[in-house]
Amino acid sequence: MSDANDFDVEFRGITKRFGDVAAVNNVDLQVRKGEFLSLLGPSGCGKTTSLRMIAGFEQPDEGELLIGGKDAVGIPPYKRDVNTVFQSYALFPHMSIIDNVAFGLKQRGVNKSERRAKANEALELVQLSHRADDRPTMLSGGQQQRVALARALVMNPRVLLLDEPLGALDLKLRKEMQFELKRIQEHVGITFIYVTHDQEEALSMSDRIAVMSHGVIEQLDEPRAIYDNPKTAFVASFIGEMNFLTGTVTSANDGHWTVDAGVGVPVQGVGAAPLNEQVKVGLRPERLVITPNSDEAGTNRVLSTVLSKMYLGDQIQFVVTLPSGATIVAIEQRASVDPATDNIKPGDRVTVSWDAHAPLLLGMVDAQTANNSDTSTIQEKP
Amino acid sequence: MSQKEPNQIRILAPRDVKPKLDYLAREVQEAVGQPISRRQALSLGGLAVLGLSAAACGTASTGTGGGGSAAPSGSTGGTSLAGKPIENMLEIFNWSEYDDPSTYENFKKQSEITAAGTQIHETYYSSNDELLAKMNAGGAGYDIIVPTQNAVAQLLQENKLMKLDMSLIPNISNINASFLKTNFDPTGEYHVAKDFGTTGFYYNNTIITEKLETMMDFYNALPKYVSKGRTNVLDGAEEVVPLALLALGLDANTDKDEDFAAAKDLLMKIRPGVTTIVASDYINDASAGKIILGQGWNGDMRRIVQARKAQGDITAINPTGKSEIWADSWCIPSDAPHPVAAHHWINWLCTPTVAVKEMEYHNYPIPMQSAIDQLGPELKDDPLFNVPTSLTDNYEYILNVSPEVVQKRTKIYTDFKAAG
Amino acid sequence: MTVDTAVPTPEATTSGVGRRRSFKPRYPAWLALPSLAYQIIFFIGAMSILVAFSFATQTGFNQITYGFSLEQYKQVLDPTYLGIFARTLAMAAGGTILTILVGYPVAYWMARYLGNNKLIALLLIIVPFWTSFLIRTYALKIILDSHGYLAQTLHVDLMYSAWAVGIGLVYNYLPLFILPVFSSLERMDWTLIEAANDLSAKPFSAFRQVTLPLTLPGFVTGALLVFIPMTGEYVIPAILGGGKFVFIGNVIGDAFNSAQNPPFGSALAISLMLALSVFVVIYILVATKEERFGS
Repeated sequence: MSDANDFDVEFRGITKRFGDVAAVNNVDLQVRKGEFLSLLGPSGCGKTTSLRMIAGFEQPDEGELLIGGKDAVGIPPYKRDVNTVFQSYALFPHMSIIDNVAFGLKQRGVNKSERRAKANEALELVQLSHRADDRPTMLSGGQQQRVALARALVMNPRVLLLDEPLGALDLKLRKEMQFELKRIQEHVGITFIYVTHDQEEALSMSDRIAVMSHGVIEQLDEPRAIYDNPKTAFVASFIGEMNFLTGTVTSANDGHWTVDAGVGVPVQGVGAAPLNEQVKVGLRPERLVITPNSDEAGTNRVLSTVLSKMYLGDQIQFVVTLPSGATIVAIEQRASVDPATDNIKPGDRVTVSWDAHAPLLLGMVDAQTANNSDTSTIQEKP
Repeated sequence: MSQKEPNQIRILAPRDVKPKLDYLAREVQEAVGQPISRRQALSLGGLAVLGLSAAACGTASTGTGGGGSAAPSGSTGGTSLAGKPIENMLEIFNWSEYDDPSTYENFKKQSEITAAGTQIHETYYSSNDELLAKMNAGGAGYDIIVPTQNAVAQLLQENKLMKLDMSLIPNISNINASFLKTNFDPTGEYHVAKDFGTTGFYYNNTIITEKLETMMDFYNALPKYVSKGRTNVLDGAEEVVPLALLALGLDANTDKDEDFAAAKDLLMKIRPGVTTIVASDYINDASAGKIILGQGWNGDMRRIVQARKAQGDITAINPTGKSEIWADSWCIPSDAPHPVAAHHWINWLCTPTVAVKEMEYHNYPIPMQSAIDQLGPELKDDPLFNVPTSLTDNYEYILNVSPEVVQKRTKIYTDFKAAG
Repeated sequence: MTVDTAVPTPEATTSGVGRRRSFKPRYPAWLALPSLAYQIIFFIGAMSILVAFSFATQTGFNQITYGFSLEQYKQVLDPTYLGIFARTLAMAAGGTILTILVGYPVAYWMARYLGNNKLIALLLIIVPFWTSFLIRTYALKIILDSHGYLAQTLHVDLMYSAWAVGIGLVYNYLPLFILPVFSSLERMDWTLIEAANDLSAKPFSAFRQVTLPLTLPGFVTGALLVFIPMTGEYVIPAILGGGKFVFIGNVIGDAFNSAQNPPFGSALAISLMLALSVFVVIYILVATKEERFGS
């Protein structure tokens, strides 16, 4: 067990209930000093509640919450060394931008000239010092968000909490702000805990991501590991797109496993697997290769029919029907495919293949779901 | 209310609110379960009873258009009406529920009225201001009005009253002589007294054991006993200042600055002894034993003494020396369309048998000794009802003599109130 | 104004202009004429009569000669009336402060703590307003009475004191203050309070620096709605003050009704209006100073 002082925030068996529902259920979490940690999950997964407990707006029902190694349960928000950037910005509409940013320092009794200087510095960091005397309503959404960030950063907190801060911005602005946030985080070196339901946002900025669902952390890992090695079907489906196959493990040895997923050919992957058990296998669409001239089938090579084809600019998305009747999604990079692939039409016979590192073993299927879950494609995003 | 409360006409602004205040005060007290005296209950119950009787006799008119046989007299001079026929209509403008229903019925049963086929139509007002406003608007077509002394004086000044033909009112001989010629009608030719009231004071005799007899005694007792409980003086500029003048033995209707100065001195001197200055709802508070010393009108004080009968702790006094008297009078507007019938009406009301019924109904004394003598002991022997003439002869009617006088009274009154 | 503020960012302008365009009036302005006519006849008309009265001379009971006489205004300056003016304003100010002290917490509680029961609470606040003002004042008298519940159980005898008048004022005008304050608290974004707490502001400090300034429009409206009619009050002091607390309204009433002297009553009323205007303008300037100039 590591020293508590290594972590800026630590959850030890924290539970928070609203009525009968456990919004956060017996969660353990350790946030490292200076890292950018994202809490990712659909709405109602407990990510915002977790953040609000760190901020002090909610108190846990059970468990221990440590901030900077000290017990924080019962400490009111105004005494915590953490600051929050709210989704709605929560700028004080009756104060100028500079007064908004200086607000926290004023509460701490910092004298006027010093707090103005520091506030200006913070505004410079977010490139808004020229709007210091304007009212928040005169600023655009992105600018307001940067003010909110400056207002929290000027407090030089141990941890900065960001509650879906880019949620209200349009796509272009969001991309800019992601870059900006990351730049600022690296510049100030403060620990960021970032709540989002946008997997792309989490993947692009975070040092680590905690994927949450139904009040528990499903997986806590670096972005690449989360993407490449999701531990559960939920994580696999929530991060990126994923085709799911269900089948029985027919062999497992020498670091290889084979599953009979009813697609006519064996599905083979790398790693260990429980023999003779029903398992779920995930296949990322971009790991599938479509070959126009139908070749002979074999392990990890399925003869299929194209159901539909859609251009996504630099990519092409195919939906193909497997011999089992199930459909799966495949995405091809136009830059890297054979021109023949570009010419495939719906109804054409094709070969869908993947390499042995592509299939992900996503755990066992329990008895109830085993019957009705055939191969399926997760299309929708929360 | 089964009778017109005398205080309805003498409250502080707004006058129109005053009856409403009284009524509401009683309603609210009843609603919260405060005990209501027999008399109060009577007056509440009276509403329904009299509402019926008003409906029965009030609007039985055959139409005013039928009264065309009489030539309206526009003159205020002593036009003799003798020999002219009684008209078939009588238009009365009155305080509501102010006369016994039998008075109307029996009036119409007189042979000459039956012969003339006179119908009575009655409408009501609730303040003298309302009456004056209607009279000023002109063309109201009333034959009988019932103004209080101030309104009589004002209407007289504006030539709006008919000089009465006393040959048609022989029964006026029944009215006590001191009520014929008054300061508001010096010749006594324009009004006939309907009923009257006086102002006195009452006190809790378990707390105040000394004998208080004059209005000055009352004022002197105020600072002396205020620490023992609530004291009250009647509200209104037309009440506060003239009563002080009367206590000093001065003319209630004086216009002399030195008199006003003396009244102001007295009022300011006794001001610390005054807990409240209200005229609107002192009856209930005094009946509940909450006032230990206060001014009051005789009719109200009767009710208070009756309400405190069990305790017997309230003594009410008709002051010796000067005090206030007020009176409502029968008058005929100068342009009354049916003057002969109106004279007959007044003459009928001056009949002792009618006056007896009337007094039993409204409980205000009519200055008619022969009628008072016929009353039962509960009225005849109660000095708060039958205020002795020996006392009332010293009492004065308070009049709005001139705008200047009213102005001076109001100023002193305001100072008096604000000095708290 | 700096160049920066004069040239707003593109994203701010586009939305602003678009909105303004869509709110262009669709119906001709003369449709408001009936309402304006009502205003002119019954409001300005009545006011003009009052002004004309105040410069007239009384020649008899309810009889006046129009002219331009300052006599009535000279009378108004008599120490008696100036004293009553001062006391009226002081009592109304005291009543307003009491109303704020009682009303603001109630409005705050309703807006912040009641959730779905807000409307019921609002109804409970308003319903007493549906009964007659006089009934309510008399009911209050029963509570305050020296022989009443309060005096007998708690031994607080407030009847016929300045406190009784104050309580009466608060009781009768409270909803007028609560409603506008409640509606501005309703619109309040409570995330701002979390933000303030998050930025080290203690609860009361957050209230003072955020909630209060943001609900100031409702607060000012409520305070004025309460203060102005309180200065014209005359029934409450008569009933609960035992006639001892003379408000200028009582004097005006006496002038019109009892003394039948409309010129003097009008002069008093106009003077009260002028005094109020000055008072109200100063109040608004002070109360919204921070809003207009920043801290």
